[in-house]
Amino acid sequence: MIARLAGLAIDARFAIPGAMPGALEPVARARAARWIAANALATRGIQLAIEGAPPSEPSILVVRAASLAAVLAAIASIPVLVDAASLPCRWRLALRALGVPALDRPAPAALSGGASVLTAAGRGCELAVDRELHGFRVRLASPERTLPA
Amino acid sequence: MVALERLAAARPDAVRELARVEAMPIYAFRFGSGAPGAPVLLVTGGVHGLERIGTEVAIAFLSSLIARLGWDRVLHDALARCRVIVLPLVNPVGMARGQRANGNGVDLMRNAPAHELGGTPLVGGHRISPRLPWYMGRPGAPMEPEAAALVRLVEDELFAAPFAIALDLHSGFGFVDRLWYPYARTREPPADLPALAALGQLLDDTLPNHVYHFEQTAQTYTIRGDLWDYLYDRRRAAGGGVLLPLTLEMGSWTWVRKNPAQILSSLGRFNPLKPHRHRRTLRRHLPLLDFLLHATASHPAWTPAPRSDGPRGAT
Repeated sequence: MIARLAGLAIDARFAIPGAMPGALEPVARARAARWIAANALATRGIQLAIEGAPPSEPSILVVRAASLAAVLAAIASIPVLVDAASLPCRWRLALRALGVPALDRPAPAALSGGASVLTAAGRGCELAVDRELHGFRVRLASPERTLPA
Repeated sequence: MVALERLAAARPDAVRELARVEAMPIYAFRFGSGAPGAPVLLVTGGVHGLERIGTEVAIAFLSSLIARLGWDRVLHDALARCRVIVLPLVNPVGMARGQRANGNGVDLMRNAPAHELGGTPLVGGHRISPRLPWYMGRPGAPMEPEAAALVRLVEDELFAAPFAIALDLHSGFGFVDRLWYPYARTREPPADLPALAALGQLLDDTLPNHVYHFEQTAQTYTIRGDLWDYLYDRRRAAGGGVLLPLTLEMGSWTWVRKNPAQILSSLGRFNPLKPHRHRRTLRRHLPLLDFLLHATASHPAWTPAPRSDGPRGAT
């Protein structure tokens, strides 16, 4: 398992342009984040089911997650840049170790660059992550449940 | 190549020339039901020119098939319900020159239109130089003629079928024989994971002491431009049927461990050089090929019903 996660971290750092630090397009970084999170879950055999449609425009998404795996499930469900500062320190370090690109500019700049932003604090479209027998079910909020950003 | 020409001469009714590269033919042998709705088993080998054992296993299966067609009524019954296509040598120029890539230095298994994400550095495909192994080809260039011939064959023969299994024979990695399923570019589960899991369980039940590790290709390393990823996605997009592409990766490191001197030869790293080990390898995989033929012919008996709520496939 450790070898596989290490392999994923190598893939993330060397094979995905979006994972490289620097001023790359937010959309490319968000896609890379989704790919890495989905691969991290798959490496651990965690299944992911997704309900609802992603927002049609770049949005602030708020996740209420009880574990790092739940955060990964949220990231894997939709291309987003994670506001790492809103997460506990241990989760932040784990995401960095995996090579998941995080929010590297103010949220409004990422939104205007076309990428959605995922945060664990504040207000925005709600993204619920529920634990299931073999994995997680991520529910993207319907428009009527959307809170103003 | 001589063995292939001999088989082609013996069964001119079954052979079809898919393409000719540098005057060398790429042959496909076709047996069984000609109905477009018949399930199909495709066996391919020699995608990498150094991995001769893959072509030899395919030829051994082909020879056995042709011999059995002379007397085996059970085989005739199975072939009345399905079609078997064997393409023993996809990369004849690479094999003639003793190199992994084709004549243009392109690794055919990294030559499909590449997804933007995935790919372990270098080994997973690169565009640095055709002088290095694992070269994917120039960006935007059309597929190499060998890869295009394989894609055309799969589109013509397998896309119309309600169910198809493809087994691609390789060697060169690991100490055990592995049966790999998609994806190669990502560790995310393919949409047909329930059918693949059912096939794995069927293999465990049918050949209880088999030697194969059944796992996803990308669990070992990720590959960009994998032909089977490309064909699998194309088949999914077309709808109306299932294609289960498998890769048999023969654990060639065992041959090197048993005969360390062969690591000094480029062929020795990918093929069993000792005659007894070579013969053992040729007979070792015939039960698997026979199993896949019967699993293809009888697929409604074991494939699970499609689920609308299954794990999400890769995007």
